Amino acid sequence: MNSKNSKLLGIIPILTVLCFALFLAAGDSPATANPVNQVVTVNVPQAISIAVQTPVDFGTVSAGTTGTLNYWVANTGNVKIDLSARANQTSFQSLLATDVIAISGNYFIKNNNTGAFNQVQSGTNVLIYSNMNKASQGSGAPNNWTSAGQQLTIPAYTEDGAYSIGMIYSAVKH
Amino acid sequence: MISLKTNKILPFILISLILFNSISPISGAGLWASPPEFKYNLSSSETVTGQISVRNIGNEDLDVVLEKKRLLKDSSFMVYSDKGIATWITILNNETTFKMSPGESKTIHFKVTAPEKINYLDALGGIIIRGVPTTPQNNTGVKIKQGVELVIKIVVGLPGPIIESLQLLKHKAPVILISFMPGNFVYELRNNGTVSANMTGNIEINGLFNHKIPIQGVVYPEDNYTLLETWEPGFSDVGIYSAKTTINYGRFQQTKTIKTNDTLIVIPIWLIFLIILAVLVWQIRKRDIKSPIRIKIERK
Repeated sequence: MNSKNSKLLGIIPILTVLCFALFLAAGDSPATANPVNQVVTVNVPQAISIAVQTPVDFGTVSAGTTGTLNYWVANTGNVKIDLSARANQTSFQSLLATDVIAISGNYFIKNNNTGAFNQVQSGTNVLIYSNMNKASQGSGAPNNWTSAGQQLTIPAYTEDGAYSIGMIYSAVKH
Repeated sequence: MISLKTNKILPFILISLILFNSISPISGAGLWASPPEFKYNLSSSETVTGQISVRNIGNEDLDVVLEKKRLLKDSSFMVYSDKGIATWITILNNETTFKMSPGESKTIHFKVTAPEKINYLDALGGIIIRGVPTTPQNNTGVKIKQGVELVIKIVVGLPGPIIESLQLLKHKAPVILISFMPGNFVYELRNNGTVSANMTGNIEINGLFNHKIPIQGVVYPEDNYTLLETWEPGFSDVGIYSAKTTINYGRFQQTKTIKTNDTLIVIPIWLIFLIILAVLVWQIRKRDIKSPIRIKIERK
């Protein structure tokens, strides 16, 4: 009896180990495994970007008349922006002529939101496009404002010559 | 044989065009920067550092200038100032002017140090990245050299008492409007508090027909802000209208309110035409003006 018991006692640990091994094997079996979800993440950073046509030219405008020009400006980033513009000087200047063309009262820029032409200023950014959208996803082209415009009146009796000025287009995240 | 060759060449040309399009720079002057804004919560004298990636995406060589500024922005203008948060920002490595060729990239490093003694909580500043084409002035026509500027916002929150206070300095509303003539509602506001005032609300224009113009904006402490909203009466709008403006503001919850009431008269364009026509008819009858054309109908 004692020898039988001692044999049984010897078998029990072996059976226990075998059961445990079978349980582990069953756990690893693809047929009974729980589905494991793989989480894949990606971070798309924000970027602000604009591009503008340069240089632009009013061409030949007679003294005492008003010239207009169209240009394009594009939101090439992936965030909405507020776009404003300013001149880098208070007047159009010439390399040869002694006259200047003051921007005050003569030089205007189109506002997309109102459709009106606003006075260009030299020290202050004038808002010309509020909440300019980014390009639609995957469109392959940036959001391009092609009907942007400027107006310039040449004061009467302005000396002939080539006049120029610098414009800066400023973008800030909306 | 020819069609076989075309079949092989055509996809190659298309792929080449797509690749060229994606690699080639945009015509004109262009800049790209990431990220477009930074938001920091700083305690007294605390310093943080950051970096901005910049790329010349245009096809022009650019003279690039970096500046640190305080931003004052409303619905019509954006002005830069050298005060306040502008003095807390430092552009590192003295990289404030450099040239960039088309496609060239650069990393800008900066730090922001909160002052030891502070008197307000929210501040809006930024790093201005300005790129101007290097092309010289031309001698023909009236030319404009156009450059681009990216404003990378730096918004700093500082510990301190939260005081929400937005004051309406003055406001202006149109008195008479004609159909399709836009009228401006102008509100001059000042933030006397210590935190940014996020505004929401609307202008309710009630008369024969009702209209609602939404209001949105942010005013930073110590800033003056001109809120400009426009309304254009339609063809059918006529008579006396009331304009009730409600500006709700607060840093997170817009719990405080500013209200104004105005009255305006809308004259429809068709009424003006009718009056002109009536005056003309009246004048013709009064002066007994005969028509120069006479039509005689005879019976056979």
